[in-house]
Amino acid sequence: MSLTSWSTIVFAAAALTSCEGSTNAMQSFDVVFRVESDPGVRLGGARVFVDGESIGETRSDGLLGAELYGRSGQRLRIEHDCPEGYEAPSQPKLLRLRSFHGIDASGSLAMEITLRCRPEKRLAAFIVRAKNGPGIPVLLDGERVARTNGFGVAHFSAWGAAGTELTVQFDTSAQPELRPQLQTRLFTLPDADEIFVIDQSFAPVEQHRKSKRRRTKITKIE
Amino acid sequence: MRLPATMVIDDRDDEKTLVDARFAVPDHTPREEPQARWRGASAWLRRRRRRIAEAGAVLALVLGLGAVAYQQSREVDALRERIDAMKRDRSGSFVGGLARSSSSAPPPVGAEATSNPSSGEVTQSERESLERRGAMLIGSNDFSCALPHYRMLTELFPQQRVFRDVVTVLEAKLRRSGSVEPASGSCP
Repeated sequence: MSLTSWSTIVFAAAALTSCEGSTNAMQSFDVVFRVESDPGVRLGGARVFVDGESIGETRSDGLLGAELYGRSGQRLRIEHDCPEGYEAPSQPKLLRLRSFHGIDASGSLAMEITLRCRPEKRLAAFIVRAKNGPGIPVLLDGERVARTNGFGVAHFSAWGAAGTELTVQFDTSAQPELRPQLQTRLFTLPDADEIFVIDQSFAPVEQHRKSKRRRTKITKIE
Repeated sequence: MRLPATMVIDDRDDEKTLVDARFAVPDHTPREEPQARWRGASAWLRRRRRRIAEAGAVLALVLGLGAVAYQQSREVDALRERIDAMKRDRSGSFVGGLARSSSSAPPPVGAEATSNPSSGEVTQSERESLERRGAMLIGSNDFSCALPHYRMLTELFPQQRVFRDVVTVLEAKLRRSGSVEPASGSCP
């Protein structure tokens, strides 16, 4: 083997050794933690832990910047505590340290990790549109929460955990000529704030019977 | 003794027509002059008909443009006044337009209704109409227009928690869907 070949091999080995050394060396990594209650809704006051050690709380904009030390490729356990009214997932997240560089060579980029603090309660806004139903009291889980106005419109809201079932009832006891009486609707709160529109038609007894009869006839024709 | 009627021959009459003096015109000159003038004027008008028509058209155009410009300037002034009024009143023109004498306003009804100074300026029927419109916007899934409407309701009835809750949910829904709030005035 010629001297040139030997020198090439030695040079390559030296280069490899130097690379190996740099990846194993401790270095700092810029990490930005973003805490959200819902997608896009940032949350302040959440405490972040890296491998069990607290590194600080998110600001009011829901962000926390930190400089973590470790080796490239090292895995870190990320946990967080949520403010009151929010719950953190039970499983911790794992973060693998990596260096990123911008394509415009403006320097290294911070890693960003999003953590979730799920609200314990969800907001449900109800909008009632009662046709021929002005002045009808509306009950939520048996409790009177609103009364329809002159146009049959009523607004009310409720808080509850995701999956909670809510019963909305129209109390027509004061207007016995109206049908249907004590109409009840059941709603399940989703894992997000939501608006429910309740459309309900009322009619006097006679009209109600006629419409029922007519409906029956149509069914027979079909 | 009765004298026969005298026959007079007018010197200026080339045809030497005999004219009974009783029917003779004392002097023809004053009548003929205006007629001649009129004939001259009408001939002049006929000659310059085209030019007069052009001048009339130009004049009409100028007057029309002037009227339009005047109308526009009045509208601009009115608009400026409205903008100034809106700047003075933070709650905006639509809220201001609803303002009425508080003495005539009946108290609001509803489970969560409570009296407050702003809502006292809105009559019951206006409030019901506003609530109905809000329900209609949400019922038709027009959340981006419903949001400013319910913000207005929140301003009018700050103690009505339910309107604030609706605003909260609408904001969350629009954020989730990535929708942009409409510019003021773009909603029906």
